[in-house]
Formats: sequence, C-alpha cells, structure tokens
Amino acid sequence: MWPITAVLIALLLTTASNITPLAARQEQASAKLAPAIERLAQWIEAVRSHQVGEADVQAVIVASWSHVELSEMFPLLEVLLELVDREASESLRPRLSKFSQPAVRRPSAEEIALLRGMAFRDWVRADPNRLLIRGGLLHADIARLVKPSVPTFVPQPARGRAGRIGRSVRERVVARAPDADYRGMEYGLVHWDYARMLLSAVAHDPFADPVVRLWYRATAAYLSGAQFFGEAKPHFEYALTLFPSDAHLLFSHACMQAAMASPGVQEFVNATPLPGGVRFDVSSARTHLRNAEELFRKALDADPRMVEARIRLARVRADLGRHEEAARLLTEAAPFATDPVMAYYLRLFLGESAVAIGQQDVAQTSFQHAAELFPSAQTPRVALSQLARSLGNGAGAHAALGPLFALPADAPDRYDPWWDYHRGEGRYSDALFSDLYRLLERPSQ
Amino acid sequence: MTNRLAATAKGLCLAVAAALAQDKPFDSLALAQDKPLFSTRVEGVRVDVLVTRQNRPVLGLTAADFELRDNGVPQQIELVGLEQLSLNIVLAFDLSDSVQGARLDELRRASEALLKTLKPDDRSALVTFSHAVTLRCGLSLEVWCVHDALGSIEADGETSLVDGTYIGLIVGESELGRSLLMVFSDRFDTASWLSPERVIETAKRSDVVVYGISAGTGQSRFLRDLSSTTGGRMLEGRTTDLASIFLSILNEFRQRYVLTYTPRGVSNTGWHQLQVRVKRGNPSVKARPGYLTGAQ
Repeated sequence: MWPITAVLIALLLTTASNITPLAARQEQASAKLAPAIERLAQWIEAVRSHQVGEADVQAVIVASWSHVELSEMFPLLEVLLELVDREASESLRPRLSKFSQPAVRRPSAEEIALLRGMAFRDWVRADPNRLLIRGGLLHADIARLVKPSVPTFVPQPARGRAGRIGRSVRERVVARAPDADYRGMEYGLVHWDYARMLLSAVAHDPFADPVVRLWYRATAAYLSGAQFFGEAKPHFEYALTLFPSDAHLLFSHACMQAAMASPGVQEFVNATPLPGGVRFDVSSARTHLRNAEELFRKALDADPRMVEARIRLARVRADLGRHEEAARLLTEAAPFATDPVMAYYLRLFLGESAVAIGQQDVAQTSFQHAAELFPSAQTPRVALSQLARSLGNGAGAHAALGPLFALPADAPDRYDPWWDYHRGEGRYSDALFSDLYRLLERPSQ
Repeated sequence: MTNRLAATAKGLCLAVAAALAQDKPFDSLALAQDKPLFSTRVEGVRVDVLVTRQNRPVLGLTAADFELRDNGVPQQIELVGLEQLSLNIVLAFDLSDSVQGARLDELRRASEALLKTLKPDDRSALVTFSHAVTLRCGLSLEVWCVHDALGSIEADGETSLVDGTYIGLIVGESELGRSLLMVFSDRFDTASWLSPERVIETAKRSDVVVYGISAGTGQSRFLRDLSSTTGGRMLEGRTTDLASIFLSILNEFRQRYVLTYTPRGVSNTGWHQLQVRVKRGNPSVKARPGYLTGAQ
C-alpha cells in the first residue's frame, strides 16, 4: 500500500522518478541555466512589484510557470543570495532540495556575472530578507487567491520493493471534497511549499521574525479554517518547528485536530474508498482528540489567558467522555468568557456535559442562556428540544422549536456561531492578513 | 415514551393538537417526566409492520395471524384498520450545495409526484436542511403549502442531516395518525449539533417510521441505522429514479399493518425489545426492533 497523507482531504504520495545518467544531467543542466536566469530576473521583478494580498498580474504570471520551471530557478536564487548574504543562502539550501534537483555544477563565470549584476540591485542587496519575505508572500497569494489549477493525481500500480524505483520524489497529493463530496485526487498546491521554503530561510531579525510568525498564523488559520487539511498539516509542521511555543499556532493546530475528529470528517473518510491502495492520512477520532487536547494544553501553557483555548479544551475532554472534567473547566472559564461567541460556545458545551452527567436543570439553564445570546440561532433550540424529548416531553420538544419554526428561511439574523466552530482561527484569517499587510508597510530595520 | 393512542372523541384530539401548535415560550418548559402527549382513555403501543413474501406485500392478514412479544412476553394484539388512521408524511430534504441543479429539479419532480397520490385526509410537511434547518410547511391537510415551498427552495451551504432529521421526527409527532418521515440526502453530515446517537435515542421513543433515501457517493450510516431503528428502510437512488422511489416508499407504508397492544407483564420504563412474527408461512416481517419509554 502506498503511504499516503490525506485529509478533507490531502494525500501525500511517495512516487518514483527515473534517474538520468550523470553526464546527461550535466548537459541538460547547462542548457537549462540560461532560461532559468532569465526567469529568476522576472521572478525578482514580480516579487518587487507584487501588491501583497492581491491576485495581480505579477501573481498570475508566476502562477503560470510550471513546477519544473520554478524548481530549476530556485537554486539560482540560492547562488544569488550567497553573493549578497551567505546566511540566507545557507538557510535556503536544505529546503531547496525538497523541491528541485540540485544544480549539478556551479554557474559559469558569465552566469555569475549576470547574477552578480542582479545581486547589486539595491533592493535585493539592501535587504535580502525582504526578497525572501515578499517572495514567500507572492507564492502564498498565488496559492490562496490565484488558485492555479493542478494536475489530477492517478495512483500508479506499485512496483518493486515497497513500491519504489530508484530515488523517490515526494509530492503532496490531496483529495478534494467540498462539503464531504469527493471530487477526486490532485497534486497539492506547490506554491504553499515555495512560500514556506522562502520564509523559513529568512534570517532572524526584529522586523522579519514578527512578519514570518504572523504570516504562519494567518495562513495556517486560513488553511485549517477552509478545511484544506492536507495543505494545513505540513504548514503547521513547518510553523511549529520555527515557533514551537507560539500560543496561537498551537491553538490553531489544536482546532484543526479537533475538526479532524468531527463526525463529518470521520464518517466521510470511513465511507469513501480511494483507488489504487491509496488511503487517507486521517487517524481515529480518539487520536485526533488526544492530539487536540495536548496542543490546547501547550497553548495554555504558553498563554494562560486564552479563554477560547480553555473552552475548546473542555469540549475535547467532553468528546473523550470526560464530562465532569469538561463541566468543571467550563464553569471556571465562565467569568472570563465575555465575548458573546465565546459565552455562546461555553453555554452550549456546558449544557451538553450537564446532560451527559444527568444535570438536566443545569443543561436547560445553559441552553437557554445560549439562546438568549443568539436568539435566532438554531442550535440552542434544537438542544432544548432534544433535552425535553429525552425526558418524555413531546409537547415541550415541539414548543422549544417554535421560535425556530417562526423564522423565514432567508432571515438575515439566522446566523449560528456553531456553524463556524470548526473553522477555529479561520474565523479571523481576514483580520490576520490585514494585520500582516500593515506590518509589512512598516519600514524594515 | 410510547405514543399513546387517543381513543377519545375526535374533538378532543383536535383540541389537544391545537394546544401543541401554540408557541409556548421555551423558558416555561417543564422538564417533568412522562408528560402525556395526548389525552387518552386507553394507553397502548402501536407498531407499524411490513409483511412481505418474495419482496411482495402480504395482504389480508388479521390480528390473529400475528404474534408479538414485548421483552419476550407475548402480548394481546389488536389490529387497527389502516383506514382509521390518517397518514402524516414529513419530507426532510437536503438542500446543501451538492443538491443544486439537476438533483434539485428531480427532487421537486419526485415530491410533486408523491403529493399527487396523497388522500384528502393525509397531512404533509416539508423540512429542509442545509446548515440551517427550516420548517417550510408544518403538518397540514393543505398540500399546496408543500407544493409552493418546493417551487421556491434553493440549494446552498453545508449539511445538517442529523439536526434536520431530528426536527423531522418532532414534526412527525406533532399530529395524531401514522407518521412517515422521508429523509433525502446525498452527503454526510457536516454541520449538526446533535449526535447521531441522540437522534436515534429520540427515534426509539417515537412511532415515526423513517425511510432514508441516499443519492450520493456514500451512504450515511446514521440514516441507515435510524431507518432500521424505526422499522423503515434505507434506499439508494440515482437522481433519475427518485420519483419511483418516493412512490414505492409511500405505497409500502400504506400496506403496512398497524398492530396495537396494551403492554402487560413488562416494565413501563426502559428499552422494550419487540419480536413480531406471522404465525403461518414464515413471511418476512419488518418492524421496529423495540421502543424506549420513560425518562433517560
């Protein structure tokens, strides 16, 4: 069976690529360098001109380049950076190997002169970090806003030992499933990888660090909030190697783990067969809940003031069957849940745990409080109804739904925060991107 | 809690039904246990039973042909004539994104075909669910309400299959008579609050018979389990044959026997396992596997 990473849905596929004899590679590499230098010049210009946060012409142009064209260009970026900033180059080198064949020879003297000419552009030379940051943002904007089409993935029959021939090239494969509607498998958006590669090469400084940190927070929130779990998983892995104690990244990752434990994801994964021995990289609900619990605890260790992390941790514990612990945690958090949405979630979860431990009065009070916070939301009405029905009160069950039944289908205030619960920090991704762009406008040190 | 038959005059039943329809403030809900749903003179358990042989309904059976055990204890059965009980048909339809286009058109056509076969004293209702669950029409004799609602529905959003089905159950209980809940969905649940287990628990206390219709790439285990719990069935349908599926479900429901009995020799709380068989010929018998009574 092919090892696969998948989630609502992503698949990581280990495939095989043929090895070309060394001499042929050298000849091919030489022929390729001239266009690659030209492309690097175009890329630098695109990075310099791109309006971050926009699907502008620069983003569209770079989006049209193939993975092969970009992977041949980036080693030259490494050379360029070596000419101006050895630290940035050395930081970039190990990450480049994942995405491109390493250059089999150094560029010629003429090519280096060309590169040196580019290197002496004031803009790059003055601040190589800025090139890397803006380059990363360009590729992230391509992934998020341009959304170039990607080729369909068709699993090949396994050959040889463990299905591999020669050297393997890792490529990420995802399964698209909007609203749990399986649409097929395709390769992941490699521009996310480019963005991470570039940003992770940024040398540490007081300006760069908060930008990179906020970029990871915003993009991770966006990916997990949109349930692009296959793209989000490596994203979190990278982010937490750079910022292992960042409370927001830990929190956001925990939210994603909890979402992956949700009945919608679990049932879809269990009931959707994939072809060719491919399987989803989704664990059991219990495993994801335990991951979420650990991550929420780490987030709270990093920032004990995160009320939402406490509320979500309680929910995870309830889902693990530890309702008394959950109820205790929620009761302790209640005075600090001043935001209406947080108070709403807290009341719903407290009600649910109260039902589980036989405290019907507490449950009813909690659900009623939730209904008062968002009078047109359906969840508290449904919860009150089911509570009544479970106690044999059919009339009460119907009456509890009365306010819901009275709402027209297109009522503008029918919003229910429960519908956004599993988006986690995705609810704030637009605001996070706005903060990021404001941070970029500040002059660098 | 079992659905208690109203053996009183029709006027009282109507009065009780009217009380149910009042918009009772939720904060005045009593959580008293076992609050009667209807006024009764006789309390009983009603069991919808489908008898088939080689996939064809077996007709003409009488109470004497059946044997029913409640938690293993044989019960005295009465057979209710089908014409004595009106039908309540609750349609609960998935209106998430994936139902747009041809699938929604076929859903409308299938529903219209079904509505045309309703009898004058049959009631119908329409519940739709994307992430938002909406009662388009409550149970009533006014078929035009469902007809008009079908013309205006649009598909958009996620899928609250579990919440939508729960609300369909509650709507199905809101009137006297035999209630059939037909749930159509082409996806898995992605947005509900209630767990499948809670709704199945509710169904165990209800007389509503659920038929699930799945038209997507995966069959919902919740819908399958719920249908089985209520003595109904789960069907898979392509978009193009929904009308024939809907009609076959209604036809099958009309051909079910309704057995009633007053439980004797068994506890009046907890889970009651039901065993129903026909004494002669060993035909296939489909009925709910049991019911739950009393508070949790």
